[in-house]
Amino acid sequence: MLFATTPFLAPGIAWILVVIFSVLWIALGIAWGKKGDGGADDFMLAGRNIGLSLSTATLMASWVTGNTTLLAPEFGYRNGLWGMFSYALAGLGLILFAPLALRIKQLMPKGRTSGDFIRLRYGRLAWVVFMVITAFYTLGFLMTQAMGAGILLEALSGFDYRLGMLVVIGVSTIYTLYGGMRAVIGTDFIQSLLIMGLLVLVAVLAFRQFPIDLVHSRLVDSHPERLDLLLPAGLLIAWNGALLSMGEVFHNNIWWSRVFASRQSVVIPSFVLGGLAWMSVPLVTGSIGLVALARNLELEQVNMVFPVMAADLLGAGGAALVFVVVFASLTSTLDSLLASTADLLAEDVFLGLIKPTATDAQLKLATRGIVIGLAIATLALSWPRLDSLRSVLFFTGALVASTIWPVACGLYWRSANRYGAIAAMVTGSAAGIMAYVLIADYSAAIFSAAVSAAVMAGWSLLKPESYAWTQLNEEVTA
Amino acid sequence: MNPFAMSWITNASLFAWIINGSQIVLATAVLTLLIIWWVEVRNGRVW
Repeated sequence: MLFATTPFLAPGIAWILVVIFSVLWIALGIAWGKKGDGGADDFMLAGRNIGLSLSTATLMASWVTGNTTLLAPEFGYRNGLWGMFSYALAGLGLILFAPLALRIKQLMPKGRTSGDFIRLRYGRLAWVVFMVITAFYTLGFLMTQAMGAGILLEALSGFDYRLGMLVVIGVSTIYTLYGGMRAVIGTDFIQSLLIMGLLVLVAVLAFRQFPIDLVHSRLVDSHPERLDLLLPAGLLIAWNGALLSMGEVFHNNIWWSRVFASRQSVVIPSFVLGGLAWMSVPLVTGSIGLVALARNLELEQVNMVFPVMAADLLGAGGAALVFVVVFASLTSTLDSLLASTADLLAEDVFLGLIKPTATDAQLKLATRGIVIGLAIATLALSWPRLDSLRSVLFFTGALVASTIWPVACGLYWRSANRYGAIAAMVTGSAAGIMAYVLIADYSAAIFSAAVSAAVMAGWSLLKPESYAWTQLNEEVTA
Repeated sequence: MNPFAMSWITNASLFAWIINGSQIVLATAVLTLLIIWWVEVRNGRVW
């Protein structure tokens, strides 16, 4: 049967929830934003001394995106258990970044952005290539979150697609603008608790309505391949997911800014704990996709399987719970993206290229201006609606996976060659895009990372450099 | 039949273990985070 995507939450209730949580995030964001010394560095990195609870929670909340509530159930629905596992393997990106995070903190105690590192380690040309890749990725990421906001709020409550998008982006922008990184990290703590707690509640209640053994027996009868642990496409998707997440985490300033904002002693445990806890989220949301499959529902839009199923199984209460989870997921990711991308552009482009003599107040003002500019650009790009976000996500994987080895080698290998890093990013991205077009969207990151690794290693072995690590700290502090 | 085609269909108990296990891990993560936060609040080490 065809399952129509009619809204399950009365618009009045949805508006009440939006107002309550919007006021809460904005009030808390502004209050936390007043804690610092008012300088640009504090605005960008929350005082560089956050503890384990906030550090872990901000990683969790930022990594639980609209994609996690939209795409993980879609993966479960389309690809079964391996779809869920592949999404969960994205947590490896955070876990494997943990030792690199400590290394970054040690080498660049005064650093601010991932762009700082690439420029100081590999030079200006490599920085340009890196910034192009990160610009594509960040815009894609912002668009998927904005579109996710519009699609989900429409599915749940009948909000107009563009109105939902406007509300989520507007709220995130307001508190990020006033409170900077302190507002982002403080609200992330509450948002992560809400997301995790309510997801457990939704899943437990959903499986009480449709028991696990019934889901299993229905799947064995109708879709046994979705329970196959040796499914070749599933294995390929899983490794693609792991490499995609490594590319996302290793290069993006969301995660680098968390490293710089945290106390050195909590950097490793927060990335490991955050990654481990996060891995259970797509398993839980993905399992809801399996329930839809077991019930043999054909959905008009597969990326709405989670809210539609939760509302169908649990009624208006389920729709309200999912609404809060989704609202928290989207705002927690959008605020992080806005803040850390604004930091990157303010530090690397405004201060580095446009006005190197800018005062602290001018840098802070520029950061705020960029937050507003990014929010407007995201709205403009997301105005036309796409119905599957999966293709957007996998396309960015072709690009970001090419940065894994240049970043990792640049942090640990003195001989890593700057031209090798440039060639690795360019050829890796090209190979990833070719794989995306010619083979399958979910093979892009694998080809990108493999070619990038070979070029990076080969070039650096043939033409080794002898980099002095102290340059990273000396030049940042100069 | 393709002799190289392999499959391993998850049985009911493993399936239940995966679904229940993921829910337990998520619930434990919430509690762990709250405990760490409480300890840091008492020691003035949150920010």
